[in-house]
Parts: sequence; structure tokens; C-alpha cells
Amino acid sequence: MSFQRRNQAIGSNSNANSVRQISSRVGGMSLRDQQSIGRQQPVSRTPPVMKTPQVNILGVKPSVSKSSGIQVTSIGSTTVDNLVFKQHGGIPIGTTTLIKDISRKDVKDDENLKYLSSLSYQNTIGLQFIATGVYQQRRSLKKDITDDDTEKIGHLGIVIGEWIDLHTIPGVYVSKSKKSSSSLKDKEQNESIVSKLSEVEQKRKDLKIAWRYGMKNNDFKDGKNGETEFKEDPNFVPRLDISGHVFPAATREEVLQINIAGNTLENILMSVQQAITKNPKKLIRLYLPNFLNPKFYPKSYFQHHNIMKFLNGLKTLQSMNDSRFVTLITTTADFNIPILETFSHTIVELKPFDQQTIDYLTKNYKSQGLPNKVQQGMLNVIKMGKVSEFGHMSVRMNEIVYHVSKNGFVVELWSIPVDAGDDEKKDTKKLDIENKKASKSIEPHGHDHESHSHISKDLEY
Amino acid sequence: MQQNQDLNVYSNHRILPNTSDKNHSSIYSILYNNGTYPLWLINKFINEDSNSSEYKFTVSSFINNNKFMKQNITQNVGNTSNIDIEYVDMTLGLQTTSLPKLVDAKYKHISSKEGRILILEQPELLISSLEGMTSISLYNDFINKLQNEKFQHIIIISNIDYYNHYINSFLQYQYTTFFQSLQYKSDVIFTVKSLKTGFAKDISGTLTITKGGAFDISKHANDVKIVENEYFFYVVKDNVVKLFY
Repeated sequence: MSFQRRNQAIGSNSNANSVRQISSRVGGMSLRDQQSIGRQQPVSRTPPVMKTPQVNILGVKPSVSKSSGIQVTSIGSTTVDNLVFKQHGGIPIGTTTLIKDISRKDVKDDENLKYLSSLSYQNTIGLQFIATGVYQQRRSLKKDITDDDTEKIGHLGIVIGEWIDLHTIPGVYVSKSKKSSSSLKDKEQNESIVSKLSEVEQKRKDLKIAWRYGMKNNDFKDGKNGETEFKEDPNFVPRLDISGHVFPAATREEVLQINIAGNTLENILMSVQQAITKNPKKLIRLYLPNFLNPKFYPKSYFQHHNIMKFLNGLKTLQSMNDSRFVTLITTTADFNIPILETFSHTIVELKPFDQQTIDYLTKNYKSQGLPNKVQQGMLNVIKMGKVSEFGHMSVRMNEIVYHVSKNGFVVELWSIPVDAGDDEKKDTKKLDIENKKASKSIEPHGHDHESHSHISKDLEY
Repeated sequence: MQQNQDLNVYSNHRILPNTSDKNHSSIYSILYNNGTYPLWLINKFINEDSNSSEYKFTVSSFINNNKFMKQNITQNVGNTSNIDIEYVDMTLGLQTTSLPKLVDAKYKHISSKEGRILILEQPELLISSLEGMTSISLYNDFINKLQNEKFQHIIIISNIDYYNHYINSFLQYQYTTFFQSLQYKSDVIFTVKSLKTGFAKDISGTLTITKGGAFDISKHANDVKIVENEYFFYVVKDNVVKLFY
């Protein structure tokens, strides 16, 4: 959709000229090159037409929404980009995303502070967010990707919090053939086994899915069965491997780390501002992990007027650089304060399943041979940047589930797995889940999934 | 397809309060929750009221800067009457230390309040940004002061996610009393809510119009009443919103 729009714009400007240019360039190239040009070309062509300065930043593309002028970048996960940020296909630049993790309610001893147990989900997505920036920054320094004279501009990651180990930033997934040239042989062997396994799994999964969706094919329109086949575009988002780490480790030029301890919120704001002015063109990816978590943040930070001034300053900075500034804040819902939501454009809520549901899912997926598919919780979208602001309804509850896999944080549409059970106990559990879901969701496809799982259950019997 | 309804607030089919009485001032409050940002309602006020060109609008927001407000609160392209809209950026007002100074600095140029309508977004944030701020002093030093000196009518847009029955802190108490007093001080209350059940294809949420505590029928000519009503609304495109039952 957006592609067409851009083509028209180019045509209106200098139609004959640009067509001639393209055809002459395409003439001497292999098929593969043509394809890659086809993909990159709109990005590099846009500057004279759109007159937006950010178009030659790598890893940035126009939003899939109809409103013109919104640019998006990736959060570091293809599925999150396409499902959670469905309206855009990525995080809109110039917005703040808040991910709040609701602590698990099934923790037996309530005495234990819950927030200490639930740090990992948020940080996985945060590290992917930063890793994408590192990846794009490194690409920008490589000369071979500049297929024309335009300057390629990378990203700068800023992490506020010294507890994030920059060495744990995930690296880009390296395929088996490429890896054989690398020197790390032990690791390679291990991972090749893993990848073989996952290949087998993938085949199985495909079959299973084909079987599952075969009879209901007509009901699934384009967007809906897309959950299995999002197009991966390495120019936009790299495929990350969260079990590996980025090598060589990220430098200060790639990721800037600002300490919380012994620092004031004003100073942090100043450092961010300095980093922005020092890098006048780069896309700034600001990441505030575990925001306001008392484990890391000293007491003085909790005073409302301090937080307010900080958030207000951040928002002002953002609006001054709204063509190249993305913020990701992760926090635990226990420390969530309403002003934080007011200052965020997008709010995403992670709600882990209780142990009962996880047990149920594990059992069923294991019997299907998909032990890695077990979802860990629901992902609710409460507010969406550049959509909610215009009054559009974008609340999506109990539609999306997430889990952390080898490829990082993965989301998919929620569907109840094929019930493998033969005893009645499970059926009651299943009913519970369905009731819970039915009472909350009115989305038509939710019912599709349910009825569909009924059918497959019957078939199995 | 549902039939489109016009937005009516008063029984004489007006939306904005009548200015015939020069001493009559009023507060409208628009309460919304996350996910239903109600600027389209302001646009309806500005564009669909039959006499809106008689008013002078001032748009001030504590959360969105002028650039955003200019984009989103505008006169419709087809609208022929010339509507006077002025934008005063208040986002940096959250850094202030004194409310009377803030009023003087931002609204210095306004000398007469007649026919002026202030659209004020999220003034309750001042409770958080000023240390030791109470909702009483927010009304006394800010909203009442504005209403007495600068503006005849004030439309307050507030996020009711702050409202909470379970008061567990000083700030929570201040926010809650702010919303409670606001309902008494308002003439008309608009409540914009998203669907509790989540996303739907043809409904975005509900808009409820109710009479507030300050509405005094004797101040309105010809016994004009507030038409209490509940609409469904659906946001078709940016700023194109359909109302229906």
C-alpha cells in the first residue's frame, strides 16, 4: 500500500527520468540484485520527494498505515512488529513505548516481593531493541551496502541503568553455512544440533499447521493466518539469536550506558541530550529498563515531582527530535504510576499465565511434539502510538500471547491448542480457560479458534 | 448501517454554552480513559456548533505540544465561518514552581474574558509536578483564577485512569478529590469510554453526556435543558467520527 503511494510520488516528480535510471541500473544485474534493489530502492529514492531527513537511516521504513509521514523502526522482533504494532509494522519513530510486566499472581509466598522474579521478559525485548540498533549501526559502517552515493546513517542505543550487561546484547543469528567459517567450534557444534532439531520441528509444525488449518482455510483471511509467515526483511530487522552475544562487544559509540547510582534525573536528561547533539543524524534508541524498580533506583527518584519533571523533559527532547528518537520503557506493574502511562504513546501489558494454564499448555504441546511452542502469557495492548492519539480504538485484550524462545521474544495470536487429554480433569480446565476468554474477547477470530479447536478435538477422538 | 446522530448538548440543539449572559461562566469536563483520546469531541464542538464563530478558542495542553494540538484541533476544511483558535503551549508549565506566575506568564495577553473558551488538557498533572500540591489549591490558584480573570468557559479534558476509590497515598487522594470536585463544578460532563471487551470492527466506544453539579437552569434563557444521552461512537478516519445509538 505504502509502496504504491511512494511510486506515485516519484512518478509525479520526474517520471520519465527515474524510470530510465532504474531500468538502466537493473539492466546489468543478476536477478538477486534486482530483488534487493527493488526492496531498497524506495528507501534511498525518497529523500528528494518526501523531503524528510530521516529516510537514509537504516532500518527505518514508512508505516503501513495510510497516514502519511509516519516512519517506523523495528523493536527487534518480527512478530512483535507485525502483531503488536499491527497498525504500523514497527515502532513509530518519535514515540515512547511502555512495556509493563504484571507480576505472577500465583507466587505462593506473598511475602516475597514479586517484582524481583519477573525481570527477564522485559529485558529480553529491551536487549533485542538495543541489538537491532547495534546491528543497523554496524551495517551503516560497511561500505558494500551503499549501492548509491547516499550516506547511510546508523543508530545509537542509550541504556539508562548500569545493571544491564552490554555483553549480553544478543548477536545476529548466523546460519550454519556461514558459521562453519567461524572459529568457535564447540559452540558451532552445539548450535548446529539445535538448529537441526529446530528444522525437524519446523517441518513437523508446518505439517501440523497445514493439517489444522486445512479444513478452515476459507475462514482465515490474509492477515490472520499470517502468524506463521511474516516476511523477514533483514534490512529492517535482523534475526537475532538470544543465546549468542554480539561480537565484538558493543562499544561506547554504539551503545551509551548511563548510570543511575550517584546520578540525578536532571543529569541523566543532560547526558541524553548531549548524546543527541553529538550524533546529529543517528536514530536514537533510548531504553529505560526496570524503570523505578527499587532494586536499582534510589529513593529520591520516586518523588512524583521528580519523575514528572524527568518524563516531561524526556517528552520535550523527543518532540524536538521526533524524526529520530524512539524510547522504550519497561517496568513492573507494581511500580507503574499513572503519569508514566500518560507520557507513553504505546502501552503494552505482559500478563503471565498462571501455573495451571502453563501446565495444561505444556502437556498439550508436548503431545503434539511442539514443546517449544508453550506460551508464557498474554500480551495486551492498551494504547497505540500515532493511533490512539487520533481517537482510534486500539485496545486489544487477550488476543496475543508471548513466549521467549531462542529467537527472542515471540508473539502470536492466541489459540487454544488441540486437546490431547483423555481424562476429564483436563476438560474442566479447558472449559475454565475458554470461559475466561469468551467473557473477555468479542473478536470474531477468537471464536474461530475456539470452534476450530473443538473440531480438531472431535477428530482426534 | 446505523443512522448518524448529531451531537446535542442543550435542548435548543446547541453544543457550546450560550454567551448571552455575560456573567455566566461554565466548566465542561471531558473524562476519558486510555485508548480513547477525545480530541475528536473538541473538533465536533468547534465545527458542529452553529454559532462557534462567536467564540474565541484557546487551546492549552499539559501533555501535548502545540505542534500536535495544531494538527488535531482544527477547523474543518469545508467550514466557511472563520473560527478564532489560539494555541498556548503549556507542556513546559509542568516545570513551574508557582501557579499564579504560570497564569500570568502564559495568558498575559488576554484582557477580557468575554466569549473566550479555554480548552485545557490534563491540568491534574500539576498535582504531581508541584511538590505538596493539593487539588484545592489547583482549583483556587489555577482553574478558578483562569475562570475569573481570563476565560468565560473552560473545557477540561482529563484522564480518569487516575481516579481510584482505593486511596493509598496523599497524591491519590488529591487526584481523587480533583475528579470529585470537577463533577460538582462542571455544567456538563462528557464521559468517553472505550469498549471494555476490547477491539471491535464498527464501534470504538461510548460517549455519555450528563448534567454536572453546577448547571443552573435559571441562568439559561427559555428553560434550556441539558439533553442527557448516551451514544456509541466510531472513529472512521482521523477526526471523522460517527455517533449513533
